[in-house]
Amino acid sequence: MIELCSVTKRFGNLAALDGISLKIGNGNVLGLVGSNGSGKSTMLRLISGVFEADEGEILIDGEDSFENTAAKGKVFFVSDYPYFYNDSTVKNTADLYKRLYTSWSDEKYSYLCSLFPIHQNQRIINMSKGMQRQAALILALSCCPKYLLLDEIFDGLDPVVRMLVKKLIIEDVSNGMSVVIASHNLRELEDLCDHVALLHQGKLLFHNELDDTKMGITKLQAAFATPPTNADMEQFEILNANSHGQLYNLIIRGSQDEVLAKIRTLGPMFVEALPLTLEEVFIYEMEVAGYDVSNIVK
Amino acid sequence: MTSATLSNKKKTKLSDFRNILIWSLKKHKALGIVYVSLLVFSSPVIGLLASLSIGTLNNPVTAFTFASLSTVVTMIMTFIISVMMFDYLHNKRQADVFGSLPCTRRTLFFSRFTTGLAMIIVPYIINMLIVVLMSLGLKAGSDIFTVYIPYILQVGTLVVLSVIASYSFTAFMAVCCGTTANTVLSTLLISFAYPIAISMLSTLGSSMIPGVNLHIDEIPLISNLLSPYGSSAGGIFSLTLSMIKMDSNAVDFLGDNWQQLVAWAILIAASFVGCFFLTKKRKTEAAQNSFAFKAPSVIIRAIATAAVGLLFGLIFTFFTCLNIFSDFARNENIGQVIQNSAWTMFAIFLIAFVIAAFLTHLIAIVIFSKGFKGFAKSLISFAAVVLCVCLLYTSLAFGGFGADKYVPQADKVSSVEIATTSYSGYWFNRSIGSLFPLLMPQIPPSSFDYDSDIICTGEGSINAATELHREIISNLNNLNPTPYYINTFGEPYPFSGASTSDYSEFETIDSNPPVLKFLYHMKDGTTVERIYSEGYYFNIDIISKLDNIETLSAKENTANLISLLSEESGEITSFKIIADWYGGNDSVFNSKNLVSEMKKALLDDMKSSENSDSDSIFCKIIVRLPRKRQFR
Repeated sequence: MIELCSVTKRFGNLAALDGISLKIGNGNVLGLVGSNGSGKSTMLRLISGVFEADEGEILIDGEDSFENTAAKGKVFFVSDYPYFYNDSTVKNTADLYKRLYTSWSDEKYSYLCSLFPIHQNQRIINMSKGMQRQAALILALSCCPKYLLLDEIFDGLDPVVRMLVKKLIIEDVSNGMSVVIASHNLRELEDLCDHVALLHQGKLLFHNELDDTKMGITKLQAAFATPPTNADMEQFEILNANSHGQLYNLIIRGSQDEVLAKIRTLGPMFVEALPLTLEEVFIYEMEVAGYDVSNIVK
Repeated sequence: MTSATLSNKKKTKLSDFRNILIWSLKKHKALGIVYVSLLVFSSPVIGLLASLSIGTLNNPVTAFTFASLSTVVTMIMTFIISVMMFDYLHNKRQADVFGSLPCTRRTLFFSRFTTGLAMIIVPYIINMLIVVLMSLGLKAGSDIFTVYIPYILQVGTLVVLSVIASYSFTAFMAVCCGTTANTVLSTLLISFAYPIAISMLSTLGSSMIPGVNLHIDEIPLISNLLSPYGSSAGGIFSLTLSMIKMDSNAVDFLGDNWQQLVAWAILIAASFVGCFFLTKKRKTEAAQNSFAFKAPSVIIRAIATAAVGLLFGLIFTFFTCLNIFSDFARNENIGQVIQNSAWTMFAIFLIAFVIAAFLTHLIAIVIFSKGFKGFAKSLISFAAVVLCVCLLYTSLAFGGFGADKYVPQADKVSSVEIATTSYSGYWFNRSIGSLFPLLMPQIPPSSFDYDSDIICTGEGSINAATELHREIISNLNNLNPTPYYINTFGEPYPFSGASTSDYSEFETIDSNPPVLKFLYHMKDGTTVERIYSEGYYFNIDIISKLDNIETLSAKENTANLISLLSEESGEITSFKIIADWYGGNDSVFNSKNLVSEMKKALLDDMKSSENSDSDSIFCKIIVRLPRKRQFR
């Protein structure tokens, strides 16, 4: 298990992470979402031991992770722009990881090389962005880490490779690996994650199971012959509302059954619960947190 | 599959160190091959080609190419490799990769450190051994084991040490800096600015305090301490020069350069300790910032601003003093008043210093920070440098804590050398200095001044010398010249600018000499030197005082020499006659009878020296003593 206990990281006067506490259980896939500069990548760097926390502690299986070789050996971090030397190939880079990760698997490396359309001896720096990410993934998964940290990993991958990556991750997760994926691609996260954490301006807005998150917010469409008054709506915690004539689109915090039951008491002509995407959850939660979405997208 | 393939390899810091080392060596294989090729080409190959081109294989050419070209190649590669090895600290993307590896930052750093060092030193040592083997294979003379192989091995040792010092220093700078560009700039800046700063401090002190010549820029332990590349460059030059000048005598570079070796050892130890502690303290996020730590950036800027500021401060003050005010002074007009105004000279120095130092500071900020970020705050450190220089100047202006009035106590002096110059600026050279090793065997030969006019070794002459010195100081007190300023008394300060020439033998002075030097060898092994120009003793009859000291010392020295040349003394074992004319051959005599006869002849000659004319001798006689002492 990875535990972040009141972790703060500052860069000069800016608190990139401000008192974050979070637990990532074994075999979980955590989607780390948040606005730009919210601290997602910083959190991954802290967990992987690249950065040292200014306050709080980060525990990996109960051990402090920073400068702890054993703890770091359980983690593999693929950054948003994986670095390779000018003459790096998958093969010679694998040589480094093979030497340092005790969990490295040659079989898995061969297997992955056969799955991804990559030449082991080709210079990685000359590959496309997507191919470079594939190279990074081959190396990461071959290390068989207990905790895999991926930063914007779907960026640049074609749909087929994205499917392959998701399939491989799910396979490893079923074997006990935990994955933390920081991404803005919420559609992909939705397919993969069982947990989601939302960061904004260095603070953790929520950390929940994905289903619970969605269960806690209801999106519905309702038509009223007589428009409901403000007093009628005060009983709801409305995250977003808009109307076109008599038709209302509402995002309301609360379980679907509970919200629908209350709406029905207002006598709608028609009411229907609609499926909610992670993206919508993200947008509405961020709006609540003060992220001025409507002005930005104007 | 994952669990089935998990390895049971044991992971330790040592295994991590070894694994990164091996991987890094493989990674930089291409650069290593380039280096080895250049190295082999620069020494054995060019040495062989050059030997063949002059028609014969010989050792001096091979040794020369090894000392010069191989060393140049090695020093350049040292800089390149050291910068490359630590660039992972300066790139955020690289920092992500290396920072997340399952090893400590210290292990990572020192495995990279060792990789680079091994890449430079191992090929160099192998190449050195090839050169040694080649020397043995060439037409070897009797001097191969006494001259050439010791030369090659000593050059090799010096180069290896300088490589470790330069490499460690660059590594330390890499830890302190946030970017590779700043590492390169900082390393080069310190390497050049530090010796300049030391030299300027030395010049400032020497030009302000009457009689004092600080010489700190001539002490490698101080002047080269933070300049490993500068000292290596100087070393290459002197090694090459020594090969050109090398005769059949064996060389002792290690002994001759002990101060340099100590300076390198200190730098290596300090850099290593610095790296050891700072690698753990260094924040990874410092990558691509200007500096990872504030202190080094402040120190680098302080050294650079001090060096350039002092240089320009001194230049402007010298020009002002020499070219403008001295003209006024001769005409006895207002210029005299200005020249004698120490605070006016200080103002000129300070204005020039501040302007030059500020410009350097500004340029350093812009280059290192890629803009003006932190400029306002940096002015505090700049003000501190200006304040330090002002305090230093003030302390020098008031005698440098008593250095201006210091005369050694006679009972603590082992010997005194007194030298004078002629009006043409040459030191009078009566060759008596070459007798000094014989007279004072307990003093290392390297500390002799062979240009000395008078050498005092006995109590009487030492007392007389210190008395004369004290009289000059008393005269100085009467002149009440403080606060001192650069070029006090309007005289171009002599420093050690007088040259040695045999022609001075033909010059005579019948009034006070323009420059008078006292060189004290203290009983504790230290030396004290004071050089005064005529302005300090214009009202003292120096000639008669020196005559008196010379008479006393001559008696004492003759007694010593006579005892050495006496039949009972067995110290002299051979002598060599060097023909002092073109085409003449030298002759060495070891025979006991001949040595005895020579001693007797010299003894007779000395006893009747009052009537002899030494200038009419056409050959030099070198008497070789045990422990390599000799006199002519």
